[in-house]
Amino acid sequence: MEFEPKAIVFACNWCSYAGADLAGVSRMQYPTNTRVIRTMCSGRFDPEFVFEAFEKGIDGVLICGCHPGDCHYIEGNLKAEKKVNMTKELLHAVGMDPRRFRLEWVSASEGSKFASLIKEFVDTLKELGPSPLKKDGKGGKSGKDGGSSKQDMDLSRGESLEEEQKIGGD
Amino acid sequence: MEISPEEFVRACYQCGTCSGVCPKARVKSGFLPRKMVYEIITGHTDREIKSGDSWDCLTCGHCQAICPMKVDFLKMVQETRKTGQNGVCKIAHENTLGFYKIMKDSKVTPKKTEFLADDVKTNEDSDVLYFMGCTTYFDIIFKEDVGFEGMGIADNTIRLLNAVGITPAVLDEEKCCGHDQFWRGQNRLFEEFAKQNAKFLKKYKTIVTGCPECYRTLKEEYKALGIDLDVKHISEFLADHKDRLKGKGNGATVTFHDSCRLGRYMNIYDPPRELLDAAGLEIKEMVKSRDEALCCGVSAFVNCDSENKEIRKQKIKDAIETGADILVTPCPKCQIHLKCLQCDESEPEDYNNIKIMDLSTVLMENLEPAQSVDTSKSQPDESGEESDDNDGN
Repeated sequence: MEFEPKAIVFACNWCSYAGADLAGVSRMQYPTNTRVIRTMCSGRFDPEFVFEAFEKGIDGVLICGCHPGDCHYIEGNLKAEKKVNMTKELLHAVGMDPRRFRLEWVSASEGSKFASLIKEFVDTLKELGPSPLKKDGKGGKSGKDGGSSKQDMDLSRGESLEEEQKIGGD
Repeated sequence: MEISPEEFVRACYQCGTCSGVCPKARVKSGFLPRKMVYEIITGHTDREIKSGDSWDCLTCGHCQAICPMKVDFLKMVQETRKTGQNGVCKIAHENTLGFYKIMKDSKVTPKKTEFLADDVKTNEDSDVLYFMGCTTYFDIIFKEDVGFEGMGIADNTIRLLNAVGITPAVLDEEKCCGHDQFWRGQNRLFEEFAKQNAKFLKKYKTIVTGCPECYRTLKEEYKALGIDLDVKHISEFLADHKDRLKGKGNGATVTFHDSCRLGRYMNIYDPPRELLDAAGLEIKEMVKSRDEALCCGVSAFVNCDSENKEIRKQKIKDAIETGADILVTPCPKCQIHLKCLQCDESEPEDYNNIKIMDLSTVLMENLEPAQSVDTSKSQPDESGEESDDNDGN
């Protein structure tokens, strides 16, 4: 069976979430491997989101925001860009492939861009294979066959929380 | 409570000398090391944890150095933090420092060597390992905002080793030493790092660190876990090879900040000063130096607040008062904390009258290899270990 990656999309309320909505309303087809989380601004993004998501076994994280200059909060997206660049470098330094993490600008009218973006991102993730941090232990080593079972698709939070408490979360 | 830290503090007779020297007690009313000990001796560990006092502690070790009864304050604070973890603790930059969550997994291998400059010489088969520590990550996080020169520290430490004729090994797979996790009371995470690091650290005869925190952790905390290593701080290591270096004669006045991990914890006061002296720099001591040196204000990024800022201000004021051009600090974290204050634009006073530089950078700028480096093999050396290392190159 082909590897089905799991990815989180953080979409800003004013542009990208509306863009994603437009893609849905216009009945555009795009892969179902992503879960969208709405944030009020892409500037809400915090490096912690990415680290925590990868720790819990996600394969990729995508941040979507308004185009520079269009931000509802004037410069939230530029702040996001700065943080994203730093996080990418950090991910590379700790040994994660920075291609698993992207920032893209999607406006409210770009439904088709959102659909093609998700498709392209999921293709990249399929190419990269499962994240090395995947909880089922198949990650990284076995390449394409890891983690596509039903159990895998629901984000099993209980297990990870237990683990976190054991380690003593910061 | 399963763990009772009181064992290490029984000897206390409540003289209060600790509260007298504590730099935090001076800036925060109600914070008294004596009170902390009292609470624990009288069995109110829970109340003590809830009050959050143990998290306010800077773990600078001043109290322990001066205590007439040799009460183990540091162990007490560490144990209390371990018992009460997830308690009343705020960690500065916590979210950005979350990269530890990925690093702790043994399935990912960090990439460190590719961040090094091109001119540094490394050799995987060497007997000497240079433990880079977290400089790579802190370089990425703090370079832009506070001007921290993380990779400069790593590059210059290797250049200094090269200058005395040693080509150290630098490894990609090295994880964080776990210092910050240990002092935040996250012992499991610390032990996980120690376990992963021990696998390859044991292969090397000597481990050189450029960071006092790594030095202390690898030497003492790892030993407590049963991992016995021969660890040397770069200043200690270079002081043994001083004859292979000579000053460039640039001449400047510097003042040296004894960081707590190097000074009070590990009793290394003279080697860095000897090296600065050999580099032809004039050392002007601060009002408080050596075992009385003032802390830079924060450790392990725990509870950094306005009170800690007062300590940092005092530190920089002390340094400026000496009239020195450069404040030399051996610890990368001290550099981050002190430069952070210099970059603060909301401060009415100006703290930029002094340059803050790392020990290795200052040494590299002011030292050059003496002529004898090429013939270092034939040179009789007091310790056989290091001459072996040269043969390996």
